[in-house]
Amino acid sequence: MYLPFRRCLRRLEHSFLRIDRAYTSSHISFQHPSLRDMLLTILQNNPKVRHQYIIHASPDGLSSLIRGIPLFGQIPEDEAHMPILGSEDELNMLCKRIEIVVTETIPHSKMEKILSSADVLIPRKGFRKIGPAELDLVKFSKTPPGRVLEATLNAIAEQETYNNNATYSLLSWASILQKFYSLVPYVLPIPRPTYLRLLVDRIENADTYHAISLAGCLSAHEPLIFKQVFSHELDRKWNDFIISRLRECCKQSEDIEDISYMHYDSYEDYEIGLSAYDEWHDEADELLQLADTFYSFSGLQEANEFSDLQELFDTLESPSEPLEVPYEDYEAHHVCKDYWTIERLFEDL
Amino acid sequence: MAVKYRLNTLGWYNFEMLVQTLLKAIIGPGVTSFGGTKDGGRDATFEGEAPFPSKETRWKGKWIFQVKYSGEETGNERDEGKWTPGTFKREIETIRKLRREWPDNYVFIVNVRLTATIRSKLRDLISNAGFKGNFHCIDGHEVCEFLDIYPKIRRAFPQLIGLADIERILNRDLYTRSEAFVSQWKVRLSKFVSVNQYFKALELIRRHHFVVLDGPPEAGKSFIGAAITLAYASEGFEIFSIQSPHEIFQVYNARQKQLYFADDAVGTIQFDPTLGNYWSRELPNILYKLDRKHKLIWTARSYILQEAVAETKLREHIDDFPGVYDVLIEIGDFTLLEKALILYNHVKNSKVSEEARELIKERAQFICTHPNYTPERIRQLVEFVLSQIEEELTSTEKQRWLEEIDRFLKNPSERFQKAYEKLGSSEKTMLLTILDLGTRVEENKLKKEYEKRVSTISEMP
Repeated sequence: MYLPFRRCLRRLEHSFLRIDRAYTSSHISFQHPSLRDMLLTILQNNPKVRHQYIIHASPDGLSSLIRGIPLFGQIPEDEAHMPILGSEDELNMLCKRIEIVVTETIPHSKMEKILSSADVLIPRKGFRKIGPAELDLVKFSKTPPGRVLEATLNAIAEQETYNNNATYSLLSWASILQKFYSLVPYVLPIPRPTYLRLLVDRIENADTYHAISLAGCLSAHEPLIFKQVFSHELDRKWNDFIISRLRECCKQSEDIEDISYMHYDSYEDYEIGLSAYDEWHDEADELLQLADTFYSFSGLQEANEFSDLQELFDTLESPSEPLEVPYEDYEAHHVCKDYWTIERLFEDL
Repeated sequence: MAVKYRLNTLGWYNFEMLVQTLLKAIIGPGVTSFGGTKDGGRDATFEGEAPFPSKETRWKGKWIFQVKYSGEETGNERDEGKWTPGTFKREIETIRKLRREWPDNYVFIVNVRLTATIRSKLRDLISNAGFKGNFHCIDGHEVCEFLDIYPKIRRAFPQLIGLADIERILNRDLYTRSEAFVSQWKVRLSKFVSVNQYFKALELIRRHHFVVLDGPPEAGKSFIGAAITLAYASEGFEIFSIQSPHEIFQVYNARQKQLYFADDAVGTIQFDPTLGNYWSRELPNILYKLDRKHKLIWTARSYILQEAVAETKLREHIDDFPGVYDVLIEIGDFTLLEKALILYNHVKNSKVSEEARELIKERAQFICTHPNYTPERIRQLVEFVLSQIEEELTSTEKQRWLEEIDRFLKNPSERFQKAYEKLGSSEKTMLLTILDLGTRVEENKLKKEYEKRVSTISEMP
């Protein structure tokens, strides 16, 4: 029989767990990260506990398990900082669990996290990833990292994954697919997402920024689909949009130029200027990246406004703070250490 | 009436350090350190002129400052000066024996409140001893007034930051996490020791508006980060406990003083690649927003930070800015005195029995020089081991507890592992669920996951 949630929580509060209670919600964490280390040690030494952990792993738990795969079967010299699997059964359990979790409805950030964790499965020389052409991919596919990578990418490519996560924005899908395509060359046969057409169908009504991001990803990795779908008309429409945004941003930069070079006497005026500069800077940055992506895949000639804005972005600096008030700091001055022995220190305890 | 800041929790060493710092600010940098004499008298000296005891008057010549510390604070006005006159009389006699001549100015500093009657008594005592110069007492109340005048000195002693200071901090929304942050740390703040790395970190954050606290597990990174954060909070900074860089953009306000605290910025016990990528993408945009009014603190375990730098584009930023390594403080290399102070503070500010305190006094040297010493271990030692020691131990029991302390230091996780083994299936399931879900889990989410698991688990280890 298992205890009801609240009773169980009460038993663990103060010893293992800490509960931070706020107006709208409460959060639970370990008293100290070292307790997590201790639990990992228990996980390491107890296969039964480890099995339970794997079969119930959440997306966060899966990320952690995936990151431990390069150490598969090893006993770490120091403390383990992640769970490390040790048997064929456990590997199969993990692959199965990946398939279940990835095809469920999960937050976009968790999907990204699983994919980012899968990145460590790629063999490295020092910090450099070994390219797929340098690897024996058949041999790699039989290793634990190869098998887990294959399981992860196959799950991402499943139609069910899309069906259960169709609410992700196109921008989120573009981000997921970028990571997916960076890993896919290491797997044989190469999996392909079955839902690309469904994504493309959403482009017409999507936010232009998101649509262009997805188009950029597809043009690089799925050129045939890209050719079928992206017409000159669409390119012209996006180009007009980008040029108009670039012009607007360049016009705003005339005011920003004044702000950037102004000498401020009062901190209040400086803050107003800084606020305006920040806003312009963030918008310009995003727009330049978007334009860069678009011109890379469209083949259209870059608008003059693009290089104009790029120049302004590179040259206009944040306004300078007014002259600093002399800073007075009072570091604690250490007392005579010869006098203060441990014994003396504890005298008044 | 009690003094405003809890000076009685500081201990003699810290109080002396505080007075030293205040005197340097009030009198001048020429005040010498408090020197020890054979019989234990503590005084510092100064030669010159200074605006004292007020800005309008200027005393000159040779000065002696004597500090006395009492750990008692009964809250009863009658008790507050009780011990002082007798002690004071002995101090005067010490000065007369050890010094060939009286100083021109004699200042007596004590941490408790002195009544007008006591002040008068002290004045009579010194006058009867033959002193003809200027005499002044600074009591606990006035020390607190000086701390109000010099808020930056308070920053050097974050353990003094009052609840009133802290509760000024935002109570609004994103802010529920920051509110939880304040609740979590304010209780522990009295145990803080201003170690060398704390001052280095303060200086770095003052200069670069960004500091990374790096170090092994249990070294005290989060505590130092929290102390800096709360010190800034007491000077009017809004604080935000953040988990990802996007939250900075959400809350950023150019006009407001803000401090962003990212504890375990790139992962708690292992590198979190998503977080790492977010930070490496956004760090340049965040760094240029930092200034006198906008500060950022990171903490990270060393091996995690190394992995983050290697696996992400953080390495590119190292060559710019000042990069990550220019604002890095490595926590963990404490002096013996700092280790002793950490132990002292934890014990002093806990509710352990007198017997437990005596045991610590006996084993202090051993504990502070133990190869497994970490600040977190000391906290656990006091909270989980010493707290169980009752009053009046037999010699056998005392010996057993000494062995228990030794055993804990050798293998602190053994105690937790034993405690874990004794837990029921429900508790074990809950702990593993939290381990799986991440660092900080929202209660409703944990409830859902826990209930899902217990409904499917048929057998537990």
